[in-house]
Amino acid sequence: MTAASEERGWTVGAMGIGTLMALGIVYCILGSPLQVSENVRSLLALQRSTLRELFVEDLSSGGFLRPLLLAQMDVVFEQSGGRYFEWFKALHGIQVLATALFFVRLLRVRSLPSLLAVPFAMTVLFGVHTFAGTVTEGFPMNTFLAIVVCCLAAAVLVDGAASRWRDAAAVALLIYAALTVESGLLVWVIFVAAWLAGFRGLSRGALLACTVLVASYLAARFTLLDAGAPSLAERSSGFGFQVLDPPDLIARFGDNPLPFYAYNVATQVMSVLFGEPKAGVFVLTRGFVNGEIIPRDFIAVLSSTSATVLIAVFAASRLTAWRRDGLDSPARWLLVALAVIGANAAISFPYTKTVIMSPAGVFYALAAGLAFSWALSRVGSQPRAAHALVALVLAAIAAGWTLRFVGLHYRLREKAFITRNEWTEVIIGQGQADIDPVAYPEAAALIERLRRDALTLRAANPAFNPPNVDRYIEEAW
Amino acid sequence: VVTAGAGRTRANVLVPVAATPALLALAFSAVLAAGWALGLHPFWARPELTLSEAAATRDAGEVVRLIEQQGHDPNASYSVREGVLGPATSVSPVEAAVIVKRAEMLRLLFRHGASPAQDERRRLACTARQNGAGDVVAALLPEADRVEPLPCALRTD
Repeated sequence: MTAASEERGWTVGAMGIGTLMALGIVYCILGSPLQVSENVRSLLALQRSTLRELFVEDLSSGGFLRPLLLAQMDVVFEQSGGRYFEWFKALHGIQVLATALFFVRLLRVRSLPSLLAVPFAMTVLFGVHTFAGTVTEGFPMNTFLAIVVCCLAAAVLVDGAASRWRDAAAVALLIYAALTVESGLLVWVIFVAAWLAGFRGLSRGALLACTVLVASYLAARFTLLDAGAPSLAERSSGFGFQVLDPPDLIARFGDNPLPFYAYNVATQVMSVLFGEPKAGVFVLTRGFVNGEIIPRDFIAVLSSTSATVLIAVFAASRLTAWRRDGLDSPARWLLVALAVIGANAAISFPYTKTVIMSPAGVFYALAAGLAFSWALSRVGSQPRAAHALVALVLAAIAAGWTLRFVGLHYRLREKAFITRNEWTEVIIGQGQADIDPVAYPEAAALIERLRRDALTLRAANPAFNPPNVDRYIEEAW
Repeated sequence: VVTAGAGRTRANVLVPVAATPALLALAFSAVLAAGWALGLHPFWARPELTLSEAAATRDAGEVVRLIEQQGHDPNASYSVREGVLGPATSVSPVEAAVIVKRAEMLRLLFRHGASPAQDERRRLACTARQNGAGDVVAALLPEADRVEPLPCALRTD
């Protein structure tokens, strides 16, 4: 067998594992109706507005700058031919599969231990709490997952030999991501961090062009469009042991929001590395203080912290070799992961929300997967008592992540049940469906179609879950 | 992974041990995917519920599906398996909602055609009051229709 065909074999095996583990998530996504909250209003807006109107409307709205978001949804909406559920869910499923395949591509599997590390890396990728919001929600498109895919695509672009198509793709990717949602700017961070770390998939010219684009974006946002940053009045946010609503936030930090912003950045970094706090709320610590520790919170913090320690041990063990021989691919990815986690936390300074950190969570999973693979290769070198202990420690870390991975499926199933029930409360002429069915019969027909689709889906009833399972399954924050 | 792959490391028995939990996650996904392909749903078990069972387990979506799409009568009595409301029994969906103290389920049932007689409403309101469910009492009997005292006699039919 040639080296090339052997390499292809490992890659195919790794892609197969990634696809399989993504399919389980896709299965759960397809079993869940389109959600009601925010969705009905979005779809009604798509129905009554043209693409141009949506684009212009977004450019003139303050606080956020996401002109491509509604435009993308409008394209899917129009193309669906009335099969909204099928099209938006198919898009969501494709995003999950793309996430898995790009992620596995970055792992560059070339041996049995590294192949065996893929399932672990996938459990971290999908099991980390920052990922949950990318699959449990959809408005009807999940923009955060779109940015996750963009960030992974950016990483794939930088990891290879420079070429014109990579340069062109990088510029297009950055424009798409930045105009979809603010965290799309992380694509640029990945380009720059990867270049500084030694990846040369992009030329200097492409990097410069991307940097000019980002500068233009920021200038337009803060001057011409007056979009600025979201104020304290726009979102609730976690602080300490509770979530503060806008009036509370203004009362506490209205005069000087800088301490609040610093808290948000610091806790977002901690959240990815240690699983605590979540969305700014110290959930496990609160449990300790109140004497109400729930196993799921403990499992989340323990698994995240132990994976972070594993990454640190990996980096410390390889430091001498990296200094002597230069940075290899895993070392470069660790540096990129650090940059993404830091930048992701920095741009989420206005308020804390777990899903905002989803790109950081993905690169954290990459670092954890690389560290686990390295550790497996060490265990595999010779069977000794110390190695047996290491194997057991690795198994314990992996067990925590397996539980979180399976837990995501449980939460998706629960979400399907809740969402289906919410559709029973949708009444035309009231609440989110507050339209006049006589004046706007097409809007009424749209809502009725969505409602019928939701009710026809059969959700699994959590009342028949095993007892106490909820105590072990992480909540989606 | 590049580092791990250097030298085509051969794995000893400890490697699979360390990887076992993650391999179980892979097996879990494989079961889901295979079940999906075969039309089986081991993780998405959907036991056939009666209308009363759906009401008792707060499954509003199933309640509406059974009434709107399957044509079930919201005023009839249906069997309820053991464990849902205690021992196996037969009750109406409204009665089931009262037993589990879900006012929103009652309102949903009323919107979809449930219309217990006034005497039955008063009897159920008494049960709800004994259970300390004031919102259920209010859903059953608006203030204007409430005549005290509420009769708590068991149904005899």
